[in-house]
Amino acid sequence: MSHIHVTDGVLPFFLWFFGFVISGIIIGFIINDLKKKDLKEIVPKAGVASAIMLIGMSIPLGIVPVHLSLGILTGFIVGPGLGFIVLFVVNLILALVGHGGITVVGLNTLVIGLEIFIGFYLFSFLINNIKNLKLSILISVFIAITISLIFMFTIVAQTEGLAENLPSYLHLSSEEQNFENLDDVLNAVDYVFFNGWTAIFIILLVGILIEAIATYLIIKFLLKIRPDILSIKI
Amino acid sequence: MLLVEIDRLSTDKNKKGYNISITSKLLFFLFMLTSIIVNKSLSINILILALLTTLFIYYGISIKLIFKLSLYPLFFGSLFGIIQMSSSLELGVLTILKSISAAWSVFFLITTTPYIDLFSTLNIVLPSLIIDIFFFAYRSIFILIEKGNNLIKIIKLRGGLKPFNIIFNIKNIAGAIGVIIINGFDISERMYNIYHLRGYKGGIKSEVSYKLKSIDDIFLIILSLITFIGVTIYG
Repeated sequence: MSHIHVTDGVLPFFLWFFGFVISGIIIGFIINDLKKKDLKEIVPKAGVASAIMLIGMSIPLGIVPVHLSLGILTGFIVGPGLGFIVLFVVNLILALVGHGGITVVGLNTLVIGLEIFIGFYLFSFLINNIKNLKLSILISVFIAITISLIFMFTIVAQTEGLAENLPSYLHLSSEEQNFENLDDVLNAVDYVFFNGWTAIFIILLVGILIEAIATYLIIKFLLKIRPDILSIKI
Repeated sequence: MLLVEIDRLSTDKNKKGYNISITSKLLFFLFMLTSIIVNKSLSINILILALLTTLFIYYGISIKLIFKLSLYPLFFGSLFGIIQMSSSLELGVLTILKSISAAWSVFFLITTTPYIDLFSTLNIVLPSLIIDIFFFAYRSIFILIEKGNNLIKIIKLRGGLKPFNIIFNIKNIAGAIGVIIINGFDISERMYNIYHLRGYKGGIKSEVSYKLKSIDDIFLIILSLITFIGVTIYG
């Protein structure tokens, strides 16, 4: 959901360059840590997790203009460290087929990586304290995706300015686009019977809920059949 | 999925693009992408698009496939482009053209280069663990897509998907994804064991030739250099 779909040449150089630098440093630390593990534990899991994420990201949700990322689910399966590497692989493959620019691979890895880290550790904290699987997953996914969406919008806003990031802007004529302030722009966003901040909130809420419910149902299924696949401790 | 078509095209030995060395294709891609990102001229971008179109036709790459692949970058490029048109029409059009030309330069690379050569070359800049994950991921995508399609058919045949019963459908689809994940892991572990029996200890080795093979290699490099120099001077 928080995948940056910006194409090449849109974001400022310093942003995507440092996106690569920071992702590279994090990957370096993770690989160093993974050297202690058996390749058999890492490579097949990461390969399958990457494939699952790629397929999940290709499925449009229909009722809202977003797609699943299955990032947090991936984190629950392979762990946050390997999950970050999986994200890099997934984002690079997506960029090679035109789903986002090559130059934003580093930034995308950071944005969804943040989602995985927060989701994983928040879930670990919640499951040990509230001891309810459903609530722990729903809350951790909700909070993780919300934070990564804020991070994503902050990055994208560096190019355009916050008001212009709203999709409904393009449906308006040039006269209507002469807004005096952010409120005017927001009032132009429409979803079903709602507009403005309500419409944006509902689009994102529906998307996050679908992701959270999907993650919960899949984890519940895996816990019944093959709990050894998961990295989370319950 | 378009990945199947790309894979088939890139590994077709009868296509002219297959016989170009990966060195020249990568250099072409890097110079073209840099030219696209740094230039601020509409006419240069139009020329780049015309150049890429000519190359697609010359090397026998399906324009229909390129069009299908272009839908995503065109949509998001247009989104930003139309927003920028409120301040400058030229800037907006430039953004849209840049999005498409950047995507097309990537598409030229992936439709003429087998994935083995591409991933192996990434080994120059990425650790071997990541390259191994690329290979396993790429193989797993096709396996999982096939399994997923078969599973969805079975679920439909057994009444597992009902119209207007969203909760029932979501539960079954989640279960299907769970089954695909489990099958995927089993297949991957078997794949790893096969590799292990054949001496795999990390770092999949493949023989990629980086030597220039034909006049087309030199042609591509010169073309991209001219574009890059042109952008530096006039862009």
